[in-house]
Amino acid sequence: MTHIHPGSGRLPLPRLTTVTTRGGSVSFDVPADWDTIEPSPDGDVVAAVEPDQSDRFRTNVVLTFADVQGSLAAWQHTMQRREAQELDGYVLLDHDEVTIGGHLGLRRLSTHSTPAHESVTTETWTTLVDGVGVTLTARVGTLRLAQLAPVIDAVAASLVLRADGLVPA
Amino acid sequence: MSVTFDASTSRLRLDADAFITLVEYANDPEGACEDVVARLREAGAVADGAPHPVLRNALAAVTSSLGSLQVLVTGPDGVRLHQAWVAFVSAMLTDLADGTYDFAAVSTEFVPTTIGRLTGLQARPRLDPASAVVDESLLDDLASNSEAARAAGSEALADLLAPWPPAAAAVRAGLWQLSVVDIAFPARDRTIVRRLAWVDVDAGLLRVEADEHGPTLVPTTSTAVWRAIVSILPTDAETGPAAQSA
Repeated sequence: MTHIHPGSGRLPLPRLTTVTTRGGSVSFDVPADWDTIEPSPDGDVVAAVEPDQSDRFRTNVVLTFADVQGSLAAWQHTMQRREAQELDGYVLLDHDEVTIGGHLGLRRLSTHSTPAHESVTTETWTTLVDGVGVTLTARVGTLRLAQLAPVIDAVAASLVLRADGLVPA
Repeated sequence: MSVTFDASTSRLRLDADAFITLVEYANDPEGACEDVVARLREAGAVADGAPHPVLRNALAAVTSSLGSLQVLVTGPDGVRLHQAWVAFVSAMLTDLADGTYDFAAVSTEFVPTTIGRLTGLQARPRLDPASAVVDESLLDDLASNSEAARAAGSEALADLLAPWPPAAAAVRAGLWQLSVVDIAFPARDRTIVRRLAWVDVDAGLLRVEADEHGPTLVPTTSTAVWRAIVSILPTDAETGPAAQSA
């Protein structure tokens, strides 16, 4: 039985730029050529999406905030169960405890099928700070995961949370 | 062996002889074994002198594949060898471990999901960093069709996993599975061959890595395995027109 390492097909990490919200108390890096969107004026959702290229699934990162009653584990259990019910072909591939911006957090890896029948891999990092649930979600077309994994890792590693200012006055 | 076919779901279940005959029939109806063709016709998988139209994409993947992929899954209870043909739309022959197979088209971007499902990839506890050199013969025993060989391999594996007591205990309890994914595809003037192998012992995952000293078991995560599954597939650059014509 001979073992041959698979090829990586990875590209160099692109230039990153920092996105901030909640008065600068939360920030994360995204590729500089991605479009940044802040659909809600209170900064409850901040997103960055890669440029549109024909009909290819656009890799994106979404940061959300939510008021959470209860523990991080209970909140995440509810979120994961909802995703399993709502997303076609949902498969939970991995989950573990991690540190997110200096806070205890949880990470999940899953895959599902979009309404356009695209296979998407989703990596989610969540933490709970003073009753505010913070979730960073990265979605990438599964077949491009090998190429984009370094970008996803860099985005996740860049997330910074400062408790002061995280909770709106 | 029987052949069952449901055109409404495209689900075709058949034995190895029937599958081989179906592929032969798709290429050359005159050359296929008539007795087996009769079974395929009776099930509805063959009609009007051709395979049923809903089987067209899957059969096209077999006859015009960019690469062949095998997924070997072994454990205390047996061995399953699944076969896939990677193409624009791929095809999967899923070993049902009773002498029959499911044959279906699968969108190529869902091939990793299919591999994940066939290997039962899921979250496992993290094992402490360490490594264990593993003899090739042990891996061959774990992958053997012989139940006795797998049992012997299982005992040796439990001993080998001493650096990770929960993993060793899981193997002794019969909770182990070896998954090996092989792919081969032509690119330019050569054939690229890649292999990914890992051991799932419920208490953790260990990837089989290899260097000049031979294979080694190293703790890994299902995230890393998932990324490796995706990476093992040929890229557009490897199989695109430029690669084929160079």
